[in-house]
Amino acid sequence: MLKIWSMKQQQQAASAASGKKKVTAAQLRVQKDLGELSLPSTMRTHFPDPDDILNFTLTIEPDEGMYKGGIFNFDFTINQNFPHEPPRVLCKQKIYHPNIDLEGKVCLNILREDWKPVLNLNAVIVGLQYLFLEPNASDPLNKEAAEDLKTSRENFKRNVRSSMGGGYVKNILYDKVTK
Amino acid sequence: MATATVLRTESPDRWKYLNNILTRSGPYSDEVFVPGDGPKEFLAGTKILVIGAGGLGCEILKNLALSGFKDIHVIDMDTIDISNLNRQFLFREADVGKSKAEVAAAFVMKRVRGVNITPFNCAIQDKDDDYYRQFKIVVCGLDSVEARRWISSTLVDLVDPEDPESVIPLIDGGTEGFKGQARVMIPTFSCCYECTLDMLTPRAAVPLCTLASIPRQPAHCIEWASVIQWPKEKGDLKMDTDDPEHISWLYTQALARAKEFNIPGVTYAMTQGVVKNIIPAIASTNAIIAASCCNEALKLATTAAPYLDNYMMYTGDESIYTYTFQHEKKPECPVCGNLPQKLEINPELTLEELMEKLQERPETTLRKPSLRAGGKTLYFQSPPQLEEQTRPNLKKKVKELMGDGDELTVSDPGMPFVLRFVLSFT
Amino acid sequence: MSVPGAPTAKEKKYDRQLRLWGAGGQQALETAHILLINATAAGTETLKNLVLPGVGQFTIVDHAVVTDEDLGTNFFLDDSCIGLSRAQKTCELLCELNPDVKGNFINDNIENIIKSTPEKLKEYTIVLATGDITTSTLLDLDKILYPLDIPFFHLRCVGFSFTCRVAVSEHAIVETHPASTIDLRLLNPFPELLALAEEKASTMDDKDKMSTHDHGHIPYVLILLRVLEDWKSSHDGKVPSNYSEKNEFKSLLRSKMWNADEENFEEAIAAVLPYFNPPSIPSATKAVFEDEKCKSLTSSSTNFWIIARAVKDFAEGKNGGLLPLPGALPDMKAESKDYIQLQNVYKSKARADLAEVVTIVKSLLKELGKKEDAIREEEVETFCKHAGYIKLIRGRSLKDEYESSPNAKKISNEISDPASLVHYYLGLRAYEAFISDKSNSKRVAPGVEDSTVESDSEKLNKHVVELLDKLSITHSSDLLEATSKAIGEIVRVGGGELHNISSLAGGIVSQEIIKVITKQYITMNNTIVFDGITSRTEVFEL
Repeated sequence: MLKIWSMKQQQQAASAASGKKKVTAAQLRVQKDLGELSLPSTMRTHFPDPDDILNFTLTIEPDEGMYKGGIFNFDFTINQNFPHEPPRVLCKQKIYHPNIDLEGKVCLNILREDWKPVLNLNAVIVGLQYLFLEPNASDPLNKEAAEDLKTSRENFKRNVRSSMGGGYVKNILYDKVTK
Repeated sequence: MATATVLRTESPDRWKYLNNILTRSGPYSDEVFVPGDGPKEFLAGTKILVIGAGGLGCEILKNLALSGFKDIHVIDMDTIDISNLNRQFLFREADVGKSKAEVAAAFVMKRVRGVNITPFNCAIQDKDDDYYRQFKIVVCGLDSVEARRWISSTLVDLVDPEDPESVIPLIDGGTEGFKGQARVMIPTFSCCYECTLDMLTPRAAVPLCTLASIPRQPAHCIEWASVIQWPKEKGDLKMDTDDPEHISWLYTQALARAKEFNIPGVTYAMTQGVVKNIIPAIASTNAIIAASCCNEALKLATTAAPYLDNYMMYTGDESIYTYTFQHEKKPECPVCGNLPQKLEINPELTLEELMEKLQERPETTLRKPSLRAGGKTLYFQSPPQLEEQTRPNLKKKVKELMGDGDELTVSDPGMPFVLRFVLSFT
Repeated sequence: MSVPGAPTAKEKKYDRQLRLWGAGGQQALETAHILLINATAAGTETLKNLVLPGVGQFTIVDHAVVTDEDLGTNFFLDDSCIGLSRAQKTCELLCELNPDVKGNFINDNIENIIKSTPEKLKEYTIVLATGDITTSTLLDLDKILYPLDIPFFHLRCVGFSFTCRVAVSEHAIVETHPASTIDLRLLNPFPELLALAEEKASTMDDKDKMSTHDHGHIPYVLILLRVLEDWKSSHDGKVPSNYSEKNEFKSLLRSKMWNADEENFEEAIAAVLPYFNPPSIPSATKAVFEDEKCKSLTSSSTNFWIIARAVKDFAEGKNGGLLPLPGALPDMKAESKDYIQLQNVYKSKARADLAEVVTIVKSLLKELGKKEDAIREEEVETFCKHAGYIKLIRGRSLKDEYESSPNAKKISNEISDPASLVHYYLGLRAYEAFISDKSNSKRVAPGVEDSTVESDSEKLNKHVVELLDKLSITHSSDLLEATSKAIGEIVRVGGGELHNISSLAGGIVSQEIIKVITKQYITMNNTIVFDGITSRTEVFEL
């Protein structure tokens, strides 16, 4: 049987690390995940405060597909319940995409219903990249964009181009995301 | 008259039965148990912390006060709500809106003479290591995974291998409807909360696109209202799930959506349940789990009987079933699987030189280490932009970047976990 | 601004429990009246957990005056109560917990009440006896309550252990709260369901007739029904019955996917094992159907038995052995309108089945000379939804257990296991014998003085031997070592309660009482033993 303490009250040990910032389990995990990040040339991160590794921006510049030439920014917000909870990811621009709504919410299974603590940030980033290569019209967030993609791929492509240039598609003004 | 009786001195009979188990050995008593006044005095002098003054917390405070603990602290940042009154028995309707910790402490002190309860109306994260270090035992009655993870890792970090007094057992209870669990965690000796994180079932989530385009269930309509409609219509206004006007708005939106898709079953109560993620809670289950936790606290503090090693699950919805087992410690646990080691370094070294020294250490196989200390990112090898941002630090001296006693964390793609060191300047 | 559907003040207060037992359970709780015999810590804690959720009323019978020992274990007493009626004081402090609850007290012995006004016991919904109550008093109560069908709980809480016995002659539960009541009827679909499968899925193999989008949104139930028809036509009209056939069927489903991420097909494949089962009536439901009370209804039959009989007649009649359809449908990948349409097909069938059962209920009522609307349709509906999950508990009177012990074999099987909690059961029975002993008229508990610990332990060990001999259970000192240790712990505390254990007992017993009152969830039958040293429970049917 483990005897944890002696029954006598003892003098308290001198406090060595008092007042120091505690390293949380979420921070440890993010540090590990960032070290394992393998970013292709089409993506880059930006840390507004490099000391705060739980909040950063990811920029994606697709070099192929319909969204080629666009520069898309995503805000990553990771809370202390990571990896029990997934990171929160929001597109900072108003873009025309069947799986991203006008408020920037992203429909990606591993960001919500299929998140598991064994998944890492790299998996999320790969998933985001895939969204720009293969927009999915089947179960959309932006229904109009999905409808366009279903009815005519060519028409959809044209809409993507004009929206990325900061133009209107069906009375909605999109943000300019090209250089 | 009552005033006369209040002034009576405490009779030795009051704690007669509790004393019996402390002054007599039992067939199952711990081998280190020495019956007599020792355990009684130790119990009275034991400082114990209760985290949470809600459903479990109210019960825990009552139980500890009637188990001979005299010096109890309680932390809770919540205020009393009307829906607490069906189980949080230290609160009355007139207390709605007041601090849970303060009302609970005052009530138990008034009822049980000789017990001292110190309330804190704050978040557990507001207290520092020195605060937690003063306790012998911590008992938790929480409903949040995040708070449990925090206190568990805090207590693991307080362990000094040289000093057994630094080991503060954590007793944790949780309930859901007719079910619950009580567990004892001895930091670094048995599994910690983080070791068992995989046991939690993640909250079932529905794909966003289902909410947006093909709702089928009333809950889909409610989630649509809160996840998609709220930010769209209300902009930056923060949703307050305790604000009846906000709930009413969501309910109305969900109802309209349900009507559009012919989905039956959206109700106000369901709206509240979904957006607040309400877990059913009843007095009886809280009583069972809190009592089990406090029984363990009494056994730990007195060694009058062996304590639970280390997990008891209770199920009351189909007959009564308990499953008591030992949950294994996880070797690769990020919290207790690798404890911070002491690292003596010369503060005049540059960060680059420190990294070389670390790479020389026999137990490490560092190839591309990334480092943080004292809440600062010192140097990260990846991603490239962060590498660029932190590169100037390589030439800086250790003393410019970190302080004596800081925790240094080192990760490397070749290692399964993050190495942790406590810095000691030479 | 008040919103339609917003909760009332009462719904707000009871919100967290209404999510478990609903308005019906709450209504039952609010009309219940609990009798507590002796305001021990465990008894008072039990009441606390019933007063908080809003039990109608309670009455405490206790002749004791409050002592210092009470204050060390009972939270619902304070210094000002010393020397006053324990029944009155605990009643007053409990009433503070909930203004909706009426508390009463009788400052008297239960023995006097049994002697003078036994008929008064009829007024209670549940009776709970605690404290140092003797065997003869327990049997007296049992003799009155068991024939009246009033559930009788006896809780004995000493030191680190407690045991609670419930004696209830019959307890029928409809709302058992199973994890799911889903019955998809895949192997025996009704015509409307087959028609829908034909309509929505018959072109699922034809890329010219169905779009990729539509193919990825066929509700999996319809996929299964459709593919099952194909299978049957190539398997002599038989459905996949064994494990390998089911696997073969899964491969067939997989071959029909148009691309790898069709979630609806994944759902269909996952549903094969759990839902491809031939229809059958579960044994618990069968037991109700075969019960004499179901077969021969009388004018005093309760609603439960009348509805059970109607459901039995329904199932055994033209419905070919099938229970009424519950009508629930799990969520699945589908377009909103298709899902709702499918849901409505199941719901309509459930409503049609219900209507038939209601017709049978009415004719049964007529035969019994009762009004045709004597049973509300909602009650029949609840039964129909749960027909495959109902549970009938037939209890045993205390008298039967104590005098003829039909389940003594259970004890003899357990006794050789030193980890079994039967040893605490025997120890606490011995405790009861000790305080019931005629030579101990003051009911002095074992181990009250340090000097009597050893001799009292001996006496308890002897009581165990006597009990086992009476039950004709063979024993030896080896077998009884664990019992002897349990007795050691029981005597150690000197007959008193430890607050934590009392509180835990109060939690468990109140939970059982709520289950019995609301007739929801499944009640323990009939003895629970708890050991606070190992933190374990065991339930024995004795």
